[in-house]
Amino acid sequence: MHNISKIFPAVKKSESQDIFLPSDSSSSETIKAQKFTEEELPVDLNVEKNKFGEIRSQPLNNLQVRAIDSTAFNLGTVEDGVVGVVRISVIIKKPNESKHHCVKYGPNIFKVTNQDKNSIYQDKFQQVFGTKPPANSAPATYKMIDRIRNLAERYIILEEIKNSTNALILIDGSLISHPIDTPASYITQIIDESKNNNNIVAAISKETSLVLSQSGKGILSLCDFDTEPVYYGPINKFIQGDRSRYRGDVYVVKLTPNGEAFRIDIPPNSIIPPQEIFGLLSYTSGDYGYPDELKLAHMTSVHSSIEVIELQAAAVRNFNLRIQESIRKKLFPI
Amino acid sequence: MKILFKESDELLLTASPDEKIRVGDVILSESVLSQVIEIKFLTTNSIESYILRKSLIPEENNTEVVQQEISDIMGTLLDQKLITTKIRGHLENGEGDKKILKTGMNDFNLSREKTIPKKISISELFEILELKFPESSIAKTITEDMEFDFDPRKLELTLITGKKKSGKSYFAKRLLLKLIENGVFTLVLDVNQEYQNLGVDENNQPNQYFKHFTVLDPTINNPKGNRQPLRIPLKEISAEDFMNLLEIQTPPQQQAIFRCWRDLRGNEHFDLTDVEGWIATHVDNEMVQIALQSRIRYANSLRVFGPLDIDSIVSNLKDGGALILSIGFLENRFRKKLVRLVENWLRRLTDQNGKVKLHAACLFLEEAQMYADTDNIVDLITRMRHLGITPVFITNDPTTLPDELFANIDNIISFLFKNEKDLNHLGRAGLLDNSTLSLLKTLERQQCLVIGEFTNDFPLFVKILKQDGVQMKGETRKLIR
Repeated sequence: MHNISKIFPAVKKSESQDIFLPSDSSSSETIKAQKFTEEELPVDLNVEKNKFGEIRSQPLNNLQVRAIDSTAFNLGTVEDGVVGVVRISVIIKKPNESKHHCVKYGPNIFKVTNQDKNSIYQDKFQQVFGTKPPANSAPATYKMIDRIRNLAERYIILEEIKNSTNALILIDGSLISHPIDTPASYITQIIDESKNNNNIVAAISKETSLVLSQSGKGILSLCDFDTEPVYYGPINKFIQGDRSRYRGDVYVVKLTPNGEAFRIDIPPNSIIPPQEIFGLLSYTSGDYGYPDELKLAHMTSVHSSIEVIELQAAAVRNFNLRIQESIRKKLFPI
Repeated sequence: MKILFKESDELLLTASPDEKIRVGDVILSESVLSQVIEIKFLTTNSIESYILRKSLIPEENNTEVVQQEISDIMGTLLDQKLITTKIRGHLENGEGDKKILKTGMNDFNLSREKTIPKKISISELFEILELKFPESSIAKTITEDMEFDFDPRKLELTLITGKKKSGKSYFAKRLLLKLIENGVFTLVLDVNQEYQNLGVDENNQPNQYFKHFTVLDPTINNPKGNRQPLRIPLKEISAEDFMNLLEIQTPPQQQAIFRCWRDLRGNEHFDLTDVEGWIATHVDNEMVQIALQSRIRYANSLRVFGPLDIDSIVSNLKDGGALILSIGFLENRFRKKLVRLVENWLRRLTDQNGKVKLHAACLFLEEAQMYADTDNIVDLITRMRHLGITPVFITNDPTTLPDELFANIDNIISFLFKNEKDLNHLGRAGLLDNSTLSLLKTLERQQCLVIGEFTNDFPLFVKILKQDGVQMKGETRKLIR
């Protein structure tokens, strides 16, 4: 178990009672801010001329699977900031065990204000990555919730890689670096630590901004006409523009016959060839060709509407808040 | 607690897990008084889906590192309670500060936002219901352990019911002792030998009630202690009854018996010896005489007919006592005849121009279906009541009792029932709705629901307390000692 309390701003009551406008509990998570990690870049790839391979599902044997995902939720706003919550789930499937284990970190509630967002971001960034972020790189206050989620998830991913051996580590996302939220040194550390511990890392994205320059379609459309499990890539050298941030080898992969296509980033120096990694991933994939463990990690990290109501109550108590119904609700009750 | 909604005569509330609410508790919402009849988990679609999501990973494989500051709040909504309450009425201001409970709801003055439903204590409820009990009572309320008692002045047509071994006979015996203490005479039709040892303690030594009990036992020939032989005096039955019981069916024999009764009934008493003597001297036809003498010998062998000075026995018990008629060993036809006889006795005993002049009496009928037909029961609950006779029916099968009883019932003391048929039948009394009655399924032994005059028509859940110094067990012999 990893100690993540240091990643979150400390919970403390403000001296004067603040007004709290709770969010609607029915929406379950904030949208992950993907645009900070990926830009819309063209990929100049001619499928006919470039190599691709078929995928053969292969059992995990002595490998354990560890899948990490996280969600954040904006619990509501205070006069000069936001109150948010983050939870990270790690799903573990041990070799020769049919049932999954789940370790949930959170929910962790925190408050970020316009006044303290920069100092919080500086501090927490340093805690996770060991370096300072660029000055004033904290985003708008309402985006801080997702940024803290990202920090917490990055921290857990690295800890899992450091503390596991012979594991297939599944990450929801990519191996792209960005100075604002994921320094290149962090991705390098992930790649290196994985190799040292005999771990295999696969970062799986359901969406991507990379676009095929010829057709203008997203790169996932490469698999549109494939009926069998298949992979394309690595496509890094076809990415037009600054591809230096793409620290892993980027593939477009369809893991199961009727599944969807995903972008999968694999460390370039992986301990086994990518084709075998995809075979392992295919083995763990269920409906829609997405690995079951990652699906479970997402499902168990999401905050239910019931939890959101409880968390809002906890926020009111812990931050000395007073609930005020939003003017919108008052004006438009139905 | 918050009001969720009102539907018909039910008010549904929600309460947090730490609010101590129990079935039977009484809730005051503004002026509306309602009683908790069911407590469930509050379940919404999102709670269901949340639980389903949680069940994806077995609990033993799940580890949660929850922030310390919020750990006590997480999960509380899952255990939020949905409390169904039955509206019993509303409170109105009486004289002074006194609150009076009236049935129904005058105004719908509830607000889901502003109304704060609160549980009222049993003592507050008793004050509203104007119920006062002595300190040493025979029962306590299930919630709050408050003294509750059965005021003998409110004992009217009463049904004590519940499945076997639920505690109904125990309660009936406690009630009987209470009646004795209050100077009431009670006649008990005891089919299961339940009431015969109430005059002795756990060591079979006479207790303080001993002299207040007389047991009439058909199996003995001579008085012993407080037991006397149970016999049917011939003077107290008609010639037709006698002939029916002895199956005297030929007209010459019947004519002889009619004449015999006409001649002998002028006597203060007469018995089988007198009848036999009359036949010997007054029946000329030898065949008829022989046949009747044979019947009389059969009657003697039954040991059912004989003298019984019921007036004297009751005179000794009239200021607080019980006459137990042990009818379990009697043949059914004699039992049924005895019930008619009991009715006659009670009429005579309560006759204010008669010898005994009982002001009133109570009649315990245990498992009445075994000896009383509908006519008997209707007679008891209509005409006999005017003579001051208060019948108390004790049964484990309320479906055997006639509708007329349920239409007139004043008090129900019901113990555990599991069977819907029995519960529905109790509902015919009109004292309680079916959803409240269904709570009987949840009672423990010795716990009961009391409704009627005893509770001023407010359903109360009580447990019957243990009686010391009295042998309360029946005479059931166990298969294994």
